[in-house]
Amino acid sequence: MRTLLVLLLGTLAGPALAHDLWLEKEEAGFGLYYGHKHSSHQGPTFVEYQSEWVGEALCFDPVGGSAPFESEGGYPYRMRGECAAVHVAISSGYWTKTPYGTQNLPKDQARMPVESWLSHESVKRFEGWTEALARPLAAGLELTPLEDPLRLRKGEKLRLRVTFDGEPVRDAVVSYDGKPRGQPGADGEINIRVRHGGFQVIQATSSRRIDSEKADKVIHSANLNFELSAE
Amino acid sequence: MRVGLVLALALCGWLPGRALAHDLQHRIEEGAAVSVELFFADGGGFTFESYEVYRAGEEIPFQVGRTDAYGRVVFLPDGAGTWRIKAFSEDGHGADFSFTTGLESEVRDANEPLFERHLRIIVGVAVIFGLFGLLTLFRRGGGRR
Repeated sequence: MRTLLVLLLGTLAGPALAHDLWLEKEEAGFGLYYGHKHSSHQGPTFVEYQSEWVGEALCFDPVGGSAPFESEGGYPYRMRGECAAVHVAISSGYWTKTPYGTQNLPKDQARMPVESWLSHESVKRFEGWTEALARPLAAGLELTPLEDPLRLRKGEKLRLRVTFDGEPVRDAVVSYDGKPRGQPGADGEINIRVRHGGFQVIQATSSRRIDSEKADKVIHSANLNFELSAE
Repeated sequence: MRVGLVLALALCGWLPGRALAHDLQHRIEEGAAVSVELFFADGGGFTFESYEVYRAGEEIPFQVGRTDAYGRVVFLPDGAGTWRIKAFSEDGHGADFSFTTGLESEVRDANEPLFERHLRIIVGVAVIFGLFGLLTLFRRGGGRR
């Protein structure tokens, strides 16, 4: 029955078409990557994004305050700093499907638009944990652990809250390793079972129709990364 | 004289032939085609996206094009064999898989993911569960009155 429910969620996961956006720990900082390295669906492992897609980048100290960091533009975008948590938002802009393929253009600039959307994606990675980090840290769609994710072991559940601009979201689809696992309750909360050690990718996606000449809908995607010991 | 006449007639036949070389002809036939539908987990079709069909082991595609308005790749194999389809969109989604067809273009080995293979069954079972649930609720509601 549980398998059936999970598979049915796939049919609801319209917006779960986003790529993975993840932060890899690198020497003295983090690198921002995009692609399908951790997805269950096919596609290139790395998709090179445009540096101008990168928007807000934030570094937090263990008490949730803003911490200084240095950034390096281009591809991949890199951050160097002592961050307990890192948050980066990107937007690839407007996309329009036409009979001649999907184009990175708003609907009103594309010939014969069939379907169009505006894409917003973000990623948050935890390197440390205090209760002060158990709250939304940025604007837009966000996944927030309500307990220390770094102490989890394989098979244990993590309680998460999905928010948009800090308010609970219930219409998001939450995926683990690219596989839809459920939708939050009215309080925006959901449990996700950690199924392996090592690098963790949890993603929430939400789609909202808009009245605009540029797109039919906005697709928001929020990724959560943390690393456990490889078991 | 006879030789000249033959040459003249041959030229008359040849010249129109050359002139007609740019007149594109067409032939309409029925054939056994293979239809491959590409879609996302939500059922949304992979419509109007690029694809390539390769015969196994070959580097030059057997067919290239864009999926149709339902996200389908339709092609006519020219014999039994293993076929590879690569489909990709400009925003970085795609699929790459192979399958085998027989002499009559019948599909013999298609490694569809579990979810795609059983999607309709899953949805059907879900509808039955839903109806059963509604019926149960209705009966309970009736019993309280």
